Amino acid sequence: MSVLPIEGVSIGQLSMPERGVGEASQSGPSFLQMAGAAVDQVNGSLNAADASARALAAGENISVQDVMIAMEHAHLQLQFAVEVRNRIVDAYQNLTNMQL
Amino acid sequence: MSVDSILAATRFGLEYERLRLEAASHNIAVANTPTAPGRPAQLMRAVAPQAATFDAAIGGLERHGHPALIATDVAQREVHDPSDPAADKNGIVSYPRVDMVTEMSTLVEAGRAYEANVRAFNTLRSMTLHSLDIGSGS
Repeated sequence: MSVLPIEGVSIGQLSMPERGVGEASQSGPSFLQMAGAAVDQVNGSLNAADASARALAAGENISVQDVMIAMEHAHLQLQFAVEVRNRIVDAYQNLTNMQL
Repeated sequence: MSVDSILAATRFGLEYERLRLEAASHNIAVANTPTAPGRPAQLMRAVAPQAATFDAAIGGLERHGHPALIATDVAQREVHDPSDPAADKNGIVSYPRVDMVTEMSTLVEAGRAYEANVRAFNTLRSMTLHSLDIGSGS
């Protein structure tokens, strides 16, 4: 009766996750670029609302409904960005709290 | 976001109704002021450059420009009053012919249509805010 010696297991092969065929060829704007562009858009809309509110306060020829619509537009976009951020933070916390 | 086109439609509607109100107010205001002799009486009218179709309305502010006020020539109402300094050599003072019934109903109609536009905007706004609540229950 012979006992086989215990051999070390190399984990070098596990260092990289295997990629699927479809994933490898996928390319496009990175997530950070996309998020940055969305934040830029929200910021632009907030700035536009601010500018129209200032113009109204300064007595320029701008109608009240335009100011209100610009402000509501900025509000909706900001709310949308906040909800996206909430989802991302939730997903991140789910990952960091995962028991291994 | 995709609500931008609906916001543009609402803005177009609000501006158009406000201009109609302005035009009616102006017409009522000048109803009893004499026009200069030899010149045609003019009243204001709000015109929309398109809005024939809904598609044109939602792209209206970007593609076709704003609704505007234009002055149109109208018939005159002539009163014989030689003591008025605005009278011509025959003693005739001319006023623009303003149909008060039309102007008053335009006032009411424009006010109601403005409210309808605001209601549409508020509905859109609350729908968008509610759609942000999708999936946040748990």
